[in-house]
Amino acid sequence: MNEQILEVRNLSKSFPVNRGWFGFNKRQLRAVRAVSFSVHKGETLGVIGESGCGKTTLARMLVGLQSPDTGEIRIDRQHLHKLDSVQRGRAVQYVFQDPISSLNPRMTIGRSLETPLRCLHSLTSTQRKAAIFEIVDAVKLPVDSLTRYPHEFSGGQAQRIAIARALLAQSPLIVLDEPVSALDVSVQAQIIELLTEIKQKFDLTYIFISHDLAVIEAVCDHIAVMYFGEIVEYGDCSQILLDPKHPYTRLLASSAPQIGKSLTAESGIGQLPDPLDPPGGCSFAARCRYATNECIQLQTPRKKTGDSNYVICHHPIVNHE
Amino acid sequence: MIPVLIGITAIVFLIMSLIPGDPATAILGSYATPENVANLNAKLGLDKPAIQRYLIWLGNLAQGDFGRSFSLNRPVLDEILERFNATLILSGTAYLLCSFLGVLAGIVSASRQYEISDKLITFVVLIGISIPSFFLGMMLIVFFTVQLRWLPASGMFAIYGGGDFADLISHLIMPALALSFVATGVIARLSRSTMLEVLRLEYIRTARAKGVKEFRVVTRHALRSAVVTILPVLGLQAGFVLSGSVYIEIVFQWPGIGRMLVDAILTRDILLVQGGVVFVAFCYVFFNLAVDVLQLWLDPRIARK
Amino acid sequence: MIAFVKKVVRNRLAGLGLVVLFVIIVLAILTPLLPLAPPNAIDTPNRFVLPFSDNALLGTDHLGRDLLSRLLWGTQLSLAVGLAAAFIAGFFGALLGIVAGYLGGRADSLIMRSVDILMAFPYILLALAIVAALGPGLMNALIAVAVVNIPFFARNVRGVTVTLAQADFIQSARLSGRSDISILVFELLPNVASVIIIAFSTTVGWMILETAGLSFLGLGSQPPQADLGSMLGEGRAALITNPHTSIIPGIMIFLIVMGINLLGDGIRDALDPRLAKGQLEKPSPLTRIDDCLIQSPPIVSTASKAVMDVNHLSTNFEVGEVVKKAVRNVSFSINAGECLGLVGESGSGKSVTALSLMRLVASPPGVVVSGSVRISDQELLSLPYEDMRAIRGRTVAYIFQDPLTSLHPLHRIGHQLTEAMSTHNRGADSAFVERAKNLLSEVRIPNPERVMDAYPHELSGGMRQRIGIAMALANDPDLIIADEPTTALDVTVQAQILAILKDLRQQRGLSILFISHDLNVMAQICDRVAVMYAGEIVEMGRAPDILEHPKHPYTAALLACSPQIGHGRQSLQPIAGMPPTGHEPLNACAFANRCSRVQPVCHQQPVEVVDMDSQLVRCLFPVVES
Repeated sequence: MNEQILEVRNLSKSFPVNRGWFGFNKRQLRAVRAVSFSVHKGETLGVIGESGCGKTTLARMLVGLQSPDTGEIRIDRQHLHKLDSVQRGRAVQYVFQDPISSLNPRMTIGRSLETPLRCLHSLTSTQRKAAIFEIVDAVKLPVDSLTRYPHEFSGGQAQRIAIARALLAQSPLIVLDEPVSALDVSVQAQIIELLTEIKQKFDLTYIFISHDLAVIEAVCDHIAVMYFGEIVEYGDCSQILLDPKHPYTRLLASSAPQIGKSLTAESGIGQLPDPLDPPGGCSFAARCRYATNECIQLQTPRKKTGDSNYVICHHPIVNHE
Repeated sequence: MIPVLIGITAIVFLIMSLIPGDPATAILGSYATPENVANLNAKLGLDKPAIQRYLIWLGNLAQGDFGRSFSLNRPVLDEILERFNATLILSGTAYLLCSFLGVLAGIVSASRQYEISDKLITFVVLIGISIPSFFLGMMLIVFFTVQLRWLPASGMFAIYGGGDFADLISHLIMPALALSFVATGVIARLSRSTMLEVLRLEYIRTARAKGVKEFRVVTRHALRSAVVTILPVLGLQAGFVLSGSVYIEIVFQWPGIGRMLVDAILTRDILLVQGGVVFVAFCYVFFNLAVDVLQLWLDPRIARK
Repeated sequence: MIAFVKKVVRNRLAGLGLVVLFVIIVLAILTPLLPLAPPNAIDTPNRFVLPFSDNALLGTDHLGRDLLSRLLWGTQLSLAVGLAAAFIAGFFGALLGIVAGYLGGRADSLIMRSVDILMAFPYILLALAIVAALGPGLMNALIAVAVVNIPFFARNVRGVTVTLAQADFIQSARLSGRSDISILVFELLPNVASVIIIAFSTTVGWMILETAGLSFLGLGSQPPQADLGSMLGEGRAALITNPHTSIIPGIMIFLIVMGINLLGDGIRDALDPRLAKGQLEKPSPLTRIDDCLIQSPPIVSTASKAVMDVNHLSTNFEVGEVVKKAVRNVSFSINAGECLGLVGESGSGKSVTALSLMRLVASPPGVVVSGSVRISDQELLSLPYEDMRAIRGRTVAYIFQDPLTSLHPLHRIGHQLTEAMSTHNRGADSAFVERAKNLLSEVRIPNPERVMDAYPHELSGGMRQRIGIAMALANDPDLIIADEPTTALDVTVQAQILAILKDLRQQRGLSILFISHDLNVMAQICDRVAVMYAGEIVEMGRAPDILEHPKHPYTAALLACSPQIGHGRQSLQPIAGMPPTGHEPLNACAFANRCSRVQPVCHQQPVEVVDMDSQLVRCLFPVVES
């Protein structure tokens, strides 16, 4: 196995929420709760979860756009929070869900692409030009794009530009936050293909965040299932999807519509617990059909289910029904 | 709220303490002996440090003591209350007028976009926001008083034999019109564009898809949302109407607080200026508080934030 | 720059404002060079000379001074002072706003609290207080007006800056290694600039008015020097006897301010991104029908058992000269109890088709240009508004994509449900309320009583979409048009909503037109599927046939490029090129440019629909399974 490139330990993040009159009763919304995992060089880790599960907060912490309350992030054994912005930019990059909004509307694509080269690597103008031409070619953008403005591009093209910018920072690790969710299926496939291609070419490591299980399965080696700010199941992607151990993972898999298979998912109301008033025990207990009293009362244990796989559940599903 | 009120007094005090020379000289005239000036300064507490003077003044304000106007030789608060009454009649009338007409014009204009009524309203509104209110007031006098001899040009009541309600109204019409015209324009423009924006929203399409009558779509669905946007601006417009009343009071010799302030500035009656400014600003703050409460009631989404 | 001026002048009134302003400014600049009488030369014997006299074109004032000369000098002064005040206010206000908005935290609250306090004064009080302190005089009036307007700029600019500072592109710039200063200058400022310019252009007229006002009160320019405001103030004394001394400066102020306001509107329209496509237009209650269609309605055979028949429907978006063909020649029918799926990528015209049926496409810019939509022998496209309204919500009801934006945010859920009923039925409110609660239980909302009193923002996305469904059911319609009803929802919630819709179909025998971009969702609920591409239906048939044995290359390619669960790591086969833009050629196959089976002939002729084993396919070289 390759060496570790990213190690995350016990990461938590809360946001203060004002509720009630005059800002009394300041309360904390716990977006990410004690998340730990590691990623090895060259692998793709998929993070899956529904809206509100904290996956975007996690992603933003990984690139330093938000600072965690507790816990630590290490990239290549260096603490992320000890790096200055230039070192950080060289260590890890981020691709946004909405590519057009991630590009300055009043700047040509060429200038946007130049920024990481000038600010992170202090290259001369000729060097910058050469690097940009190389990358523009790698992401299959027409060369005349460089003189145009973001609003002239479709979502798919703009995502290529955003990926190009991340590549120009030459960081070995890229966090992709729902990179294909805003795109049409046909374009989504183009971008996924591109990501696979450049990963090999530039020897990259991905953290791929998505709400779409099928997309995650198509691109990831490992998967972390997030629910209500926690990773409830982690492990080898195909093993977990073939045989989910956590009831939530199974619910996710069975909720995804598929051609030639009719849905058998729960139809009752399944909602996240109130994030301002989280339950003491397992946060999924209220929706879980295997839930018992201990699920509601006790802290949920972490159980090893394979080489690197684990699940956080009192009653992991034993055999595949 | 409280910090805002204290902030207002602090700013007023700060500005007033920028005045060069000392008030005692201003009061006693330039022939006063140094001893007289020193005595008066001690009497007025002007020999104390600024922060102490401010606190004393603030304490007095809290007890309703605004000091004594030297130019009028009477308590500042008495004068203010008397004058404010007149200002309230004028500005209040103008404010109600511009809120009602402005919103109405905006709705008509938006729901009949590009029709003749829309064009007419847009034209009148353009004049409204471009004409100085004092100039408009003067033109009204030229037209209605000088040419047509319909309405009196000055004061709040006729000097001889006036004093009843009809007399007040006849004196009020022109100043109120002149004062409300600008604000009507501003509100109408805002109402029109807000309505046009709201009418494009998805829930308006939902209402139409439900088969709701178009009149109801405009009044119950679109207007309901537009009001939430318009209301804070209506609150701000109260400040503009109050401000405009200073000019209008001069033009029509209306015995209001604006005229009092201008006179007080020209005679350098600082306590009167200070008291008048603080008083009106406080009223304005309370008015906007009321608007905020109304807004809270109209928009359930705010309460949640 | 030239392009910008052109854009501004596109608004003809703004052009007029520009001309008026240009003339006045040129006159003001040239004033010292013009052969004018000295503005302050007193000539008492010739006082109050009327305009158009021999020696004084605009007459003289109470001291016999030449009004034309005074007017031009006064204009120069007023413009200079007003503009100076506006620049000062704009500069400091914008500076404070940007600093507060970008830094946030302590600096922000300190600056904004001060701004709040300054804005708590009716503006003139503050101006008066400042003039009172500094003493009357034009410079002091300038300072007063500038100070009073700083908070306005600061607040506006700060609001925009706060939003921008959170924007993705600022975050990207940070990740690209830009320092704070460089973000502020290179990334933020160019984007805030337009807001500053808009705020400036819409308030500079106001500031000229204010300085004139202070002069009018005698607190601005002091005699003998006169700006327009003090001319008006001096004229007031002789208002009754010699109104021309007031009217002349008054009209000049009016012209200046009007010119600025007109121009300001034009600038705002040109810079405001919301107005990028022209003025805000009010959508009419019915989509416009093209004149040709009204004059010669299509002849359609009336014998049909379907709930709805759609024939050769075409809808365009017309913005100025640009015509975008969103829906082209679409025909389908929906039978009783059937669920027909309409699937396609963005820009395929599926939503526009759905909205065209009840003539709900926003118009302008939407126009239905051809075709027919019939419900039991009634032609909808030629119905007058009242008849159309009676069908909407009663015979045909809609469920929209995003339940947060499609429910009225300020109306209670109960009200929105009962309104749907009371619109089409007479009856007691209590009966409607009772029925609404039943509907809520029917869409499996626990505790309907409480939800009736709730506002949409208090509910989760899944709950809101249940409300949307309940509202569609309110009048027991024959057909429900569901426009991407699950797209905005999480996958587990989507499964719940699909289950509800399925059950309702069985219980009520509903007909549904189900629009989605997701073939997997289609497979769950639809009996038949129509695949749309570039405004056309390219394939239509029974759902299992289409989804498992597609015949059109587009359908096949779409299936091949969507990842499937349980297939492990897979390489997808993307479709080259970009989704339809609405500008595809009309006399060729619209998909030809992206098709892997394309032949030269595909580019040369329009492709007709062929029937292959009751599967309609618009292709010359359909996929045939061996």
